[in-house]
Amino acid sequence: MTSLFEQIGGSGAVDAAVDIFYRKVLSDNTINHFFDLVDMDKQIAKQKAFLTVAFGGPNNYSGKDMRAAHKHMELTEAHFQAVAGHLQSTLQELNVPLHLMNQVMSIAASTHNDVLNI
Amino acid sequence: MFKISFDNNQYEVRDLESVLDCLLRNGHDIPYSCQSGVCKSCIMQSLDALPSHESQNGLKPTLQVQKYFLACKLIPTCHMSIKSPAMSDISIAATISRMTTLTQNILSLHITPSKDIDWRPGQYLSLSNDNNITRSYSIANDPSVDGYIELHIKLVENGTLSNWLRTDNIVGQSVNIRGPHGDCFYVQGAVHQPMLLAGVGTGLSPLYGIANQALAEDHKGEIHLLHGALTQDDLYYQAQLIAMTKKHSNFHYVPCVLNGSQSDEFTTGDIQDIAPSYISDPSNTAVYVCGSQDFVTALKKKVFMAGVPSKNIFSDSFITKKYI
Repeated sequence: MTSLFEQIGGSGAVDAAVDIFYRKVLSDNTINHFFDLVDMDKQIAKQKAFLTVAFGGPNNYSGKDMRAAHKHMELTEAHFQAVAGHLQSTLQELNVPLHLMNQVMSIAASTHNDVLNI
Repeated sequence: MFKISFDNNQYEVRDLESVLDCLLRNGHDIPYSCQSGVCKSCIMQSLDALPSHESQNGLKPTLQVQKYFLACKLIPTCHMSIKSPAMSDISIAATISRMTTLTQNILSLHITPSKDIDWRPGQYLSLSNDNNITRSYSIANDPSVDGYIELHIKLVENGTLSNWLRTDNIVGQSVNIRGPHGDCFYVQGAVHQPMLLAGVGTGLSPLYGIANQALAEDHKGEIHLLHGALTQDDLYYQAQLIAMTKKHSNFHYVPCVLNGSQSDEFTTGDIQDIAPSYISDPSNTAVYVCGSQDFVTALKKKVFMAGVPSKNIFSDSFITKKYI
């Protein structure tokens, strides 16, 4: 039985998704200001790590890391939903089958409390 | 409160302060540049405590076992005695073989290393003089072809290394070089790919090296090299670049001057606005961006948003030092 990560296309899928996903994030005026001062290379690397986890791949982020990384930003529910929405539309753009998409969105949803520090 | 022993002095380290910041705060001219563990300029050696894994990341095993570490990445968790690196462990001896003036404040330096190196145009190195003053500079030529390394250096008023370069008899002086660093170099394999190279100030230099390497490797795609300068006097290597356009029909040189009246010799305007107009096939173009950090961050983002894949964007930002 193949894993979610294998079914979705592994690191190739991550590579295809990251540019699409990050462009959506940078186009969104409700959240793009968080990335103003960040070097693009570093941020792309972080997005790849996040997408790898969301796609069911090897997890190098602990919940503690997610919490610590986002704590100082004082994020709101709206911020979280904005990013989740961009993840979903990225998967739709890549024609990911619905049942795999649902699994990915479920993993993303599981980061909610760590990202919002609640 | 932990203490660092260095150079016969003891310094208290502030909470979450790195070794580098502590020593700089206490007036030591420790070499540094990127402050993120990449350029390795701030390499130092521990005489007692074992450095953290994070502070040794990227160092060769032979250096790791000798307790070398990157000072910007080490936040002490105990008292430590440290020393500056032994040049013989970490660098190559070289001699300054030539110096020429390119503009009012930019010099070209030829460095002849004591052994053969295959460092690439566009990569950068750390240069140290005999007083251990260290700065990072980009490689503007192909050292494996020329037998020397060409660096373009912007002289800074009251800059320590700048002042040293202004003294007499610089040619013949010995220096030490460490490298190569950086991922901003010509990648073979996509010979028909359009290339856009955009730099401000001495950001031209690595791009000049990269463009020449591409042409030497018979690159067929259109190559546009844009150089952004404040005034016309800040442009340099114009004769060489114009000669390249005459020799290679696929090479185009676009000098951009921010503060200048209209002229046939250059485009007036901000290179940030001009550069994207030279990308006709975003998903297939390779973009190289070099210069000040603000310029590089902004233009990379701009071309990415215009559709250039992140893996096709190469860059090198020149970071100005806090303490000159």
